[in-house]
Amino acid sequence: MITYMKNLLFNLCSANSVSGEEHSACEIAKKTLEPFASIEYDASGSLIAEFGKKDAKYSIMLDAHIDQIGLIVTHIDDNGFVKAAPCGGIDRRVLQGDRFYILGSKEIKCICCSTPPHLSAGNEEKAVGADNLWFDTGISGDKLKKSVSLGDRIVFAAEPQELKNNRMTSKAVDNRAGVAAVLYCADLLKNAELNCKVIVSLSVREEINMLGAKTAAFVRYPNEAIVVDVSFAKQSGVPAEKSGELDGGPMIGISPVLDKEIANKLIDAANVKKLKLQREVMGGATGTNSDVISATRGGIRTGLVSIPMRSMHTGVEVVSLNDVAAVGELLAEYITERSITLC
Amino acid sequence: MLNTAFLKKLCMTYGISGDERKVRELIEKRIKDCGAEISVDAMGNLLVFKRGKKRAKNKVLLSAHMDEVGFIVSGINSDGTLRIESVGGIDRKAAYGKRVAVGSSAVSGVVSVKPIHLLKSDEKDTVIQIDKMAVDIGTDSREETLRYASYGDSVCFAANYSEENGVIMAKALDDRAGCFILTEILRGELEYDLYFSFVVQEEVGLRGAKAAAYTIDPKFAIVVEATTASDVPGCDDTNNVCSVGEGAVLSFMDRATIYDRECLALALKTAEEKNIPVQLKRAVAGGNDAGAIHSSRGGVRTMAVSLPCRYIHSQTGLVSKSDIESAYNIVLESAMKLAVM
Repeated sequence: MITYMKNLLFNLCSANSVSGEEHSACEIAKKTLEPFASIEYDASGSLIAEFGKKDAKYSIMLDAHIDQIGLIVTHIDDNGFVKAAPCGGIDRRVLQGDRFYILGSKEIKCICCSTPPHLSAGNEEKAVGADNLWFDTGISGDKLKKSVSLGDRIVFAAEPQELKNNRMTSKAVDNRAGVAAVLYCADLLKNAELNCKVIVSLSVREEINMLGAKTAAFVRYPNEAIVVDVSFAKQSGVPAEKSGELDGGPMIGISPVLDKEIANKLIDAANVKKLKLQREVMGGATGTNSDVISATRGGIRTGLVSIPMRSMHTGVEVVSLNDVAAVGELLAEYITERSITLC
Repeated sequence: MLNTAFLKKLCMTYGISGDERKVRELIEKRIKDCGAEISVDAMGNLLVFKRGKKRAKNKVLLSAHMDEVGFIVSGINSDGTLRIESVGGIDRKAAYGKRVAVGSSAVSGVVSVKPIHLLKSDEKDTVIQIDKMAVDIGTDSREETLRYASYGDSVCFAANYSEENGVIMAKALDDRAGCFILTEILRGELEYDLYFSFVVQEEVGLRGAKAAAYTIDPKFAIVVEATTASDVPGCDDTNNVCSVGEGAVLSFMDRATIYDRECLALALKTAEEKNIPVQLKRAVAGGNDAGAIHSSRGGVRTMAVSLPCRYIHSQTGLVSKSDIESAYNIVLESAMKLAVM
């Protein structure tokens, strides 16, 4: 199972799909869902898959955003340097000196420019400003302009890499980890006789304005929804009260904007499967797609399950494959149980 | 054109100051069949003498350093993360949120980043000091971490190398590019006898070169290095040090050395005669092994040939292949002239 999860998540993380251009990651996810689900892309570009009982009165939506943070090209100079603006909440403290790809008509390797030390005296601790993000391709401006256009996205070049204890690091783990958990859940349920319909929404543009979740929830208007995303894990410098723990299992969201009964049922499901779980209590909005889904049309009862993560919004995001798999199992158990009792 | 396959191997090898063994072994293997006398001194410097077709009038030494900048494990926290200190000068932004390799078995790790969502507004633009950073290898306790790493282990930027459009982006170009140029010279036939030193511990105070220069006791020396190119956005021409693609860099002075005027003039003249692109370093900045070599014993007449390198001392530097070619040519031509000057 861990090998399955590693392959799935490594594949998903290898895709470069910054907000607004999520197609390549969707196509990888599609391969898992295709054999047993009906699939379409909606008007926003989200991948929507349906399986379970086709004409069921009750539908459950599983939402995971599939976009990743990155940057967007705003200017190409004559010397082969590219200027960019953040696309999503990228952490500017880690950019300089790291390797990136510009996703032009072909992938162009580049380095985020840093000021030489003898010229930055006294400012060593200062992160690069959002209006001063330059990338060095080493290619002449004329040549570069043939393969890079304004509006092209830029991503961390950080390929997936295994760490100790079934943990891994990569760019885009936020939220390919959530996508992987949803795909695993779907795979576990593919042969089950469900009394409900399951709608998988791999939604676009969460990092910008949660557009994909908003439109998919409006069109499909499910009876309930569960959002799967990443959240903060305990790490150096992060207060314990604001974080879960890596390998502590699924983090069940509890918040005024979330449905209390769904949270309780998720906890029950974890107990049935003897999965470790963590409660993540928030005083209001969760900062995830659940905030918009729950307030769609006349309202949708919504739950939130998060995967603990370290170093979020960088090229070195860290999760445990055990947690990702556990979230998949938890969702499968939850849906199985829901299918029996509700429908 | 030089075949850069061996440069790739050099850059992909880990070896911070004081831990250069793997780099040294790689170089030894590369040059063992080129008819040179090879020895390793007490500090770990690789000292090489190769006879030319003719006897040299003067003892000439070519020197490049094997070590790269990186970090050393200074502590292990109870949560399993490693505390690090920098080995050599590293800007904290170059370290934060980067991939690293820990210890002799290159255990994968990342320099942990406190998520931006949890920062107060005044923290969002501030990068913490390197000795406050934590390296995450995926473990949860000190005991567990000690199975994979220990105090004093080397921590390197994760190896990377790519070569496209005449440009190389890689780890540790400072100074594996210099080592590469020296090995290529060694593998060719020499007109005159020549000495070579592949030295340790440049990044922590020019220490290996001091011993090597003492032992070899040359009359002339050429230090082959990488130096900061500042032809990047935000730096205008008035404070540019040197530019990538404009040829090998010759120095008149840096923060460690005032270079021998006659040697510099000879190199400039040679460049003109042989049509080798060179540029002068346009700032009194940085420093290299010349600082230790030129003041060795009764003094060594020294020059420096540097490769312009952007983003030096970070995970990935950028150099031009044409500049490597120029540096190779000017070093070889100048050395042969110094041998009979």
